[in-house]
Amino acid sequence: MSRGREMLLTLALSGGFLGFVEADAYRQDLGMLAIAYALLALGMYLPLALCGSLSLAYNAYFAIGAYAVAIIAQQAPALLPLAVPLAIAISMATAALLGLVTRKLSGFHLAVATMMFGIAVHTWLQNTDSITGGATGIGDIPRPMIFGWALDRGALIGLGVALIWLIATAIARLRVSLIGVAMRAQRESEIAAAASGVPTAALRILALAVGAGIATLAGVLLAFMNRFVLPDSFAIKVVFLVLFMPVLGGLSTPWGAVLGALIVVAFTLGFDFFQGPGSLTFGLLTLAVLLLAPAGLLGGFARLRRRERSA
Amino acid sequence: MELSLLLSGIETGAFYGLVALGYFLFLRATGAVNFAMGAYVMFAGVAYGSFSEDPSAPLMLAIVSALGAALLFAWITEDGILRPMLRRTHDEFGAVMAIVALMFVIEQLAGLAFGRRPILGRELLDGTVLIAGLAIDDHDLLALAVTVAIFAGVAAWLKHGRYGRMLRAVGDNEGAARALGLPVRRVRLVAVLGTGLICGIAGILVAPQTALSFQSHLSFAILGFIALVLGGVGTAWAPLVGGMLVSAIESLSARYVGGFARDYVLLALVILVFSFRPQGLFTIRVRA
Amino acid sequence: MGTRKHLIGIAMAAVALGGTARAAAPTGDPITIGVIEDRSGAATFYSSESVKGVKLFIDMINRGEFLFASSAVGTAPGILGRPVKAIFEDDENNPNLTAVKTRRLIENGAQIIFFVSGSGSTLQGRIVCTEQKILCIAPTNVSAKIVQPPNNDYVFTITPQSETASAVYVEAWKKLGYHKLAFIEDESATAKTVADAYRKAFEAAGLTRVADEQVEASARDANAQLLRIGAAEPDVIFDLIQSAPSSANLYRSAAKLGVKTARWGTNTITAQPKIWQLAGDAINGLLVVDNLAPDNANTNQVKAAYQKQYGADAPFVFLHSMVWDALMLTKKAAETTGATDGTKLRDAIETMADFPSSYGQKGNTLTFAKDRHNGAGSKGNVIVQFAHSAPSVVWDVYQPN
Repeated sequence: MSRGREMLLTLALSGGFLGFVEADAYRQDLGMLAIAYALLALGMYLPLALCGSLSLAYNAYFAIGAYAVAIIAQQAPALLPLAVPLAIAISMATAALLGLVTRKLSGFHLAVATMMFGIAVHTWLQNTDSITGGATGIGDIPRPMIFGWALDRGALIGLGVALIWLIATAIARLRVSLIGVAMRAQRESEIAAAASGVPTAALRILALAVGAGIATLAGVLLAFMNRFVLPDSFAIKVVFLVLFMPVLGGLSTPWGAVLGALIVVAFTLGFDFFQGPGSLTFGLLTLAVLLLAPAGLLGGFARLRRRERSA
Repeated sequence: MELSLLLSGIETGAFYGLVALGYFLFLRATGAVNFAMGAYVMFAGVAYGSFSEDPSAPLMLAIVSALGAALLFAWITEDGILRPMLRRTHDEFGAVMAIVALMFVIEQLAGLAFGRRPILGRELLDGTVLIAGLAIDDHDLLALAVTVAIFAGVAAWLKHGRYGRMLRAVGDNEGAARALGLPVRRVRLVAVLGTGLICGIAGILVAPQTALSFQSHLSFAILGFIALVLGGVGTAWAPLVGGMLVSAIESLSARYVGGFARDYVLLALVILVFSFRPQGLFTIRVRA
Repeated sequence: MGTRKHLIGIAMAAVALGGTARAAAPTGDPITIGVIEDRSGAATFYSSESVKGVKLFIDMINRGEFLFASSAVGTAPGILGRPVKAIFEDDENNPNLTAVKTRRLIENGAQIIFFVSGSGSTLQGRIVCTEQKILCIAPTNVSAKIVQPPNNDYVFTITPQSETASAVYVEAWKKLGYHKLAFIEDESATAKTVADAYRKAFEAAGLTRVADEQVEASARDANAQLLRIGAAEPDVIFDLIQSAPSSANLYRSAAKLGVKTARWGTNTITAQPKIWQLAGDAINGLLVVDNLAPDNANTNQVKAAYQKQYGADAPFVFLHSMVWDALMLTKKAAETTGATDGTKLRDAIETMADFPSSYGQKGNTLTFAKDRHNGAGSKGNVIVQFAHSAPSVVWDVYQPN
């Protein structure tokens, strides 16, 4: 599909989604959840699909976004406009550091190390009452103001959809840009890429950092939407949900991650029929996709081939 | 450290050791780190707990269903997921994702089939003994004995068993093993089913000791893996040593700092150990 | 002969018709009560008890069986002549989900909301009550924060709050000469909310807290925590654990370690028979500020109806009483205003005083006001002690009021 046509199509679909979701308060809740998950999935997609780097620490970046907003709103409300860039900076630094520390790891070892980091962050949120409010979290977060205009729930959703469209489109562009090609080259064969002068380690860390920054936006939006934060939203099980989204949707385009997020939210919360077995259903679906249609629902998984495991 | 803590530390260490042993065998057989194993243990434990909760229910039924479920999942992982995936592409990433997806599916299945509430299973043996002024459940002693027996059995099998000895060859280099005419598929299957059995037994043993629910599996999977990493893969007893180490860290941090400290300590440990062996544990090395 | 039989037949028909006319089955659009419960999280063992109460008592309302409450609400079955039905959503004791599920209940037709999950959940869910102007009752939650601003204008509670109960503990402990406390709780939002309230109250009363421990949901015992508590040498161990298996763990560990320190707990324990079952004999001797007295005739009526349905072995706990009271209040409010509009219902409840209650000491009633959304009075608490693994003994050393 041509670039222009893809942009128009996704724009139209985004508009449709917006219309559907603004209909009532419950749908708004679902919509915001889908938006948050989509942003997390996009954040995970970037290093995963482009560099083949599987980090499971995404609940940490999600939490940083949400808690930065909450803590600043509580302690220094005047600085609230700075909360977003601050949160993104902290997440990116954290991701870069984590990426550095784990740079020689791959596969399951990388997964475990990053997962343990995510778990440690969740534990910290639960236990550091003085800063994070512990198990009861922080409430009374005010609505964000842009040029004196307070964003209500509907406006926040609009903002979320706009962000997703921009970020997904940007990532799609990145995939075929010089940097994107370099990233995908080093995913195919790190040795060849390095020999060609691609700064492989730096690229990977960059991808991880940018992905973390995107995930942070999910936390920021959710905090402003719900007006409270609780550690339970940021437990490690969120990561597993988010992990399936790009896979389900297809790894050849970032819109696969967005589609995956929609499917997951629809299955677990949206349809009455699926209430109980909803999660089981999309789990089985993911398994089926992996086994039978690795291209995902939008196609392209087969092209994600790791370099031959050195024996 | 007080005796009571030491004892419960040993009980927990034995459990982690069993999980680590499962990882060890599965890894040897297939080259994959099977996170879903924590879910086998959980499912078996929850199944056993559900069927044995009612005091009049037959214990055998509970035990058989628990073991059967674990065996079934192990078999599905090998024949249904890993072999087809790895045959198609030498794609470690896909295998990781598939195992995580399977883990999730088993979790949701448990929640659907047995409900989501924590379940405490029935002890295999009632009664307690008094040792050094401390009351110890007969069931806990049985669990320790069974654990040691399993380790001894596996160690013996690896050294003397027909398929056990072949396992080392198969795990190291499947292609070469196949070229030599070893029944690779059968060896893998036997090892994988053995893993399932071990996980099932672990689930049954732990179900009366701590209330399990459908989401308990993640901590089993992580702690079991760390136990394997700490213990190493030198011998079949190494996972047990690793399990005891992880349990000791848990107990000590709980006793002297607070329960939450465990997660920080383990994170630091994991990063440290992985930093010193950045290529992972399972590389080819020349064997004497 | 034929005529006599004929006459008897007519007489019987008349009696039958007369009987039916007296208790006309409720008709029309059902009045829907949306219930937020916990089917999968730490609150599930007490939430499920409340749900049992909801289901049975709604049936009784539709049949016109109001027991002692008929003096306040009359005998007409249903509410406003319409049948009552309940729809349920599981918030998994996750306060993040509570608001979402509450909105979902309302989208699915709920006109009134009952929260029977944890206090932490209700604290977040009540935002929806204010937003959508719907009457909400959290019959079994004990946190005072629920009825304090912000977002408290449409929500009511019935159980005596932790703050009131704390005064009872203080009095009892002063009588026994206890000064040093050890707290033990779990990681849930509800535990923290309740524990914070007690911490503040006890500090204000001059008691010293010498230990503050937390148990993990997945732990197999509480030995480490008990040993740390033991080292601090408290006079009393105060159990604030919300999750049933963890609480049972505490008592089993304490028994195994031979802990001699006095143990007191909150009515979370008397609310969850699962704890009594899991802990067995290890729970004997535990003292709790509960809310049921054996000589309260109202309680016994509701208890009889409950056990007729669920069996004589089914423990009747204060949760069931609270749910009963909440339903009776709802009926009264709706029939006073003739509407199910949230604002009208809210205003109606705020005018209720001395409403007959099914819990507490004999003569306990509920009273509400504009600035008093928790209806509990001074007779709501009863100190009980566990014997034979049940809270069967009314403590003879001291009772409030």
